[in-house]
Amino acid sequence: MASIELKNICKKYENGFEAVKDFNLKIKDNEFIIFVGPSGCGKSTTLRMIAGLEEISEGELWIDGKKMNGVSASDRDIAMVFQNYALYPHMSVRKNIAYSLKIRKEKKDVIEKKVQEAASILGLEGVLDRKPGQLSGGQKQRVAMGRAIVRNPKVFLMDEPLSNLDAKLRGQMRVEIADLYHKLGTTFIYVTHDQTEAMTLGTRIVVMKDGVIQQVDSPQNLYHKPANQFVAGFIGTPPMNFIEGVVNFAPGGVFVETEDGKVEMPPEKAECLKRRNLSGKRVVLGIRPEHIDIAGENEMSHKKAVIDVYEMLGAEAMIYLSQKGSKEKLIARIDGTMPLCAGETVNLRYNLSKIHVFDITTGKTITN
Amino acid sequence: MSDRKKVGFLSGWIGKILKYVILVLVSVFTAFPFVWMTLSALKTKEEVMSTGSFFPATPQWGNFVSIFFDSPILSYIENSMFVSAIIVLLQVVTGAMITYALVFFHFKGKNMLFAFVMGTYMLPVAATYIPSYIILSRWNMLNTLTGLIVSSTVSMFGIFLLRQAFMQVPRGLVEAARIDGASHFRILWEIVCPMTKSSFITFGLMSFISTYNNYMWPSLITNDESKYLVSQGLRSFFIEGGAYGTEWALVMAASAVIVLPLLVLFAFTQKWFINGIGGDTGMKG
Repeated sequence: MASIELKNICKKYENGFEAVKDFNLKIKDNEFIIFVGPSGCGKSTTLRMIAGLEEISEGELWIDGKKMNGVSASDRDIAMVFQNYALYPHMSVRKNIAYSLKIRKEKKDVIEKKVQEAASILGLEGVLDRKPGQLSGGQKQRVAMGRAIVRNPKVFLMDEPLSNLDAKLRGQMRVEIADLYHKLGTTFIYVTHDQTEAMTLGTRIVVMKDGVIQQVDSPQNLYHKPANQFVAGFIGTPPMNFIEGVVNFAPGGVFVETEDGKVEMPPEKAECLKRRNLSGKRVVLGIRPEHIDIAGENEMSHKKAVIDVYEMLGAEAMIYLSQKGSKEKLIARIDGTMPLCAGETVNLRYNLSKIHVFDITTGKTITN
Repeated sequence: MSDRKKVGFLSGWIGKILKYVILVLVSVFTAFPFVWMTLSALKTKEEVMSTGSFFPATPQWGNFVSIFFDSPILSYIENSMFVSAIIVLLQVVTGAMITYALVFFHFKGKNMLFAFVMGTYMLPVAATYIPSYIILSRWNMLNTLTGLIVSSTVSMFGIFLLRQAFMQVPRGLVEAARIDGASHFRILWEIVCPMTKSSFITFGLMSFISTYNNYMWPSLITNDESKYLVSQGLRSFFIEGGAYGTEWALVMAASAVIVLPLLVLFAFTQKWFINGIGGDTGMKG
């Protein structure tokens, strides 16, 4: 168990490329922190700096009140699970798991006991004497985790641990990792580009882009109160719909005028726009697929569109919509029982209380 | 259809025969000097020089008895084995450590250092004789086995060979071992070395053979017969020293005995020669 603090951490490479810029984060004891972002956003580099595998160019790293800059990876008391497992091919599973304990000169019977415990937690009892080459992907993944848990480390680092597994196994291992987190009660830092993993596992999520933190928050807040358009578009599948428009303070209320007509802002959002005096300014509206409903013939609607693709997913369905002459495409998540099909024209109504407004230049949220 | 099959069948057979013929020729060509040496070792002095007989009329086993009991050959072999073994050990340890740093460490001038190492490897060995001789003489190590050993502590060829092997080891394995708490020294011997075993064995064997057979350098720095290695001993005792002309049968017998340790060594290490990196790390490399 440990608290970690990253103060103004930067990573610059010799060729001048800045992988991580001014990274600040306090991680409390027993948190499950997720670093998420597209490829090349600096999430793995940050993790590797915490592990001591990558030198910190600027800034300070503190673990449990001790400054860790310059401390060798082998002295940080950190366990790490690698994307490609990194199992020692010439050692049996038992020896792979026991290696760190052997280095620490633990007694043989203690090592054996710990290995057995880890093996029973991870269901590896039957394969302890096999070599990594004789294991399946899921088993290798478990051995890599076993190697980390026997050490009882201060911090558990995981670098995209599930990305080499097939979808079914990934789901299963995700549950196992969550279970492990509750059993071990250790600080976890987990890097992924898969937002499902991020949302289901993390107590707090750090969203990164181009080496810069975009938002640090709980999964709920990231989804419902994104700090900017990037986070709004990155978190959530299918992604949030974005519609450009111009703010108009009319006598009847505050509207955002889009290509298809006016969208009236609910009072608290109207208040925000007024306070910032955004009249006549272009903004981006954001609306999640589940906040678009199909309106009846005589009901109020915001847009008329044609269904390009209808995807039946069981309880729900996704419809991909477009409009003649407009580049804008929308995705809506609707009730799976609704009798719709591709080619049909439908009236759409936005759930206005759930709408987001973003600054068109900075991308920052205006109305949260 | 059947015609084509016939042609394939014929060409298959012709190809096979051709392969065997080539293999047999190459084998005979390679093995002949060795067979000839062994047979000559069993001949009399006159028989060796006569072209009339390939096989000895009566095998002269006494030649072997005589080189064992009347010559210092055992001392030569002992010297050679001792020097070669120590040099192999030193070259493997120093080579592995330098290579580990060259492959797995990040430091400024790493490529320059490797270029320097390679540059030294390109240098003709003879060009290093004089400076090495002067250094050894300043250290008072001329005419000693220690001098011979010290002057071969590091092998550039070994660094080159091991580097190729180390570069195949996924960096992630070294990082995983660092995280597990292992020191670099430990990672080298417990993780990297077992994974590149065949290169270590190949290098060790080649280094052993070249030191064991080395003639020029040992003859330059040693002049005491008790310090001679096999090639030197063979030349000085059996070829130069023969009071009644060179005893070719004895030279052949001595050569056969000298080669024996190398053959035994090769037989034991042969299976590692062609192996690359074994096992599955799950890493893509």
